[in-house]
Amino acid sequence: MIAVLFVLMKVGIHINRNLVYTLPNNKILFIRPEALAKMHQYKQVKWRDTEAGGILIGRILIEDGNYIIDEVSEPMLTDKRTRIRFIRKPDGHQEYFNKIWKREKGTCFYFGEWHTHPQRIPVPSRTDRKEWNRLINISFEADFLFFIIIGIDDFKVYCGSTSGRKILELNRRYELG
Amino acid sequence: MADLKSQFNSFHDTIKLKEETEVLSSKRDIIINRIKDKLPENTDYSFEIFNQGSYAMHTGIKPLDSDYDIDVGLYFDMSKEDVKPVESKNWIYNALKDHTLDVKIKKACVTVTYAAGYHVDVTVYSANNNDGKVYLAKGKPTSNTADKYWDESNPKDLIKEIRDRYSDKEDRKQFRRIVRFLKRWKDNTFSSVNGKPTGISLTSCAYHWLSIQKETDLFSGVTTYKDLDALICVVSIMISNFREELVLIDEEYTWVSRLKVELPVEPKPDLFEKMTSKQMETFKSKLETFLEALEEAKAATDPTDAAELLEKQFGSDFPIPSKSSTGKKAMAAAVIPSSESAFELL
Repeated sequence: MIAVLFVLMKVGIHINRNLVYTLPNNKILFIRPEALAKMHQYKQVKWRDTEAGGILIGRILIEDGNYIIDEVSEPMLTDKRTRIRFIRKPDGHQEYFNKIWKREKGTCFYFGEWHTHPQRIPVPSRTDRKEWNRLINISFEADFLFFIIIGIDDFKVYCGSTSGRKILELNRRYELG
Repeated sequence: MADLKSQFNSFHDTIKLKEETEVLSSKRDIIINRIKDKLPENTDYSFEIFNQGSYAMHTGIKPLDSDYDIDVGLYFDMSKEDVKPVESKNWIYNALKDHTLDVKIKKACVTVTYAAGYHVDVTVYSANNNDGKVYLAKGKPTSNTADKYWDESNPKDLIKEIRDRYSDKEDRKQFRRIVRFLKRWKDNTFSSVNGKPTGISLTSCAYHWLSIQKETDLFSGVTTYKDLDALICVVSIMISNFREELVLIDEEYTWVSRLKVELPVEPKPDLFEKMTSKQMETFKSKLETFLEALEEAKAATDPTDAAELLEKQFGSDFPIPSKSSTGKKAMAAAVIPSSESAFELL
């Protein structure tokens, strides 16, 4: 393998890199670009933009146990949205999940929550952390739940183990071969 | 970090030329019987018939244009001093020509074409020489004298050398899979015959430069073969083996990058020798695109993304898994909770 790496360096092949996160159990979390783009539409750029959010849905791969966020739900009419607060009801989001569950023949999981902040670099609030702690204590099937906050200049990804440990911020890295 | 093991396996099953399909062997038998019947009318030399080509080496793939190639070799008990090469090819031609088939003398063989997507290449060898070597009859009746000659060739040694590469049975299987993948990549990527590397040249690259890629789990003792890694290995070595050479083009000396690979048996000719500088350049850039795709596929987390990248290189026989086939099944649909979030200035 070292010889191959050496050859690769010599050849100077440019490799496109994927945005991924390493989980506490050394598995990888990958957020599909389509899902990320959907959340980014709700960035609170303008003064009048209100908070938005939804649920994260994804796969756990058979091949290697890695996590992929494939789909995110968007704010529904029954959700309450203000400049600094987002209250999400299950209505609509449950139907959205069920639709994907049916389409993907049961190979998808509830993976957590996303929401926006009117902040350049988002920081979770006390309300956010309290909510996340409540959610990881509901026994969902996936071993981890993820929480994404979309700020104006950047976004952050947090992860909590559903076996009840602490919530950690995940550091992004660029996966190479 | 996709490895696409099951996609590579099913791709291999799809492209593999099963060594003895009924149609192929029956077509071959027709020609062989015809030769056995008619050849004695044309020559007194005794001969031996053997199967050659990629299916004899266990590296055959299905052709994209469904024009199957059947290779038959004839070892004549004669010395190259006694018979002219084209004369010996005429014996074959005469034995087969009334066979209501399209028969042509080509440079290296006599080709019989069937309407239904099969052709048989019959190759003539002089196998009883003072120097102990075997020679292949080259040239057409219309060729210049310089192009009619006996060319040293060791088809039986070559078949044995390729077929028996690697003593371990499973290692050997990976070698054969990699050869088949390279050949299908070639068929899918090069549209015209011009400048398309030959099957035997790619087979020889894998023969010389592949290092078997496998992993053994220390606890279970189970060995997994990493075909994607093996392809990355052989393709990156091919690219790094290109050497700059000073060549005269349009009365000007220019540096061109060329790859050489030897046939594994004597006289070990360079199998890329016939490629022009321009064709070499195309070959190299296609290899670089291929390596990039292989590397990107390996780096991809989602097997579906990885397979889409490879499908562009290998063609539509490479399967793209549906998302649902790559994910674990959940026990029950999740009951979505409510949730609240807020932004507070601390």
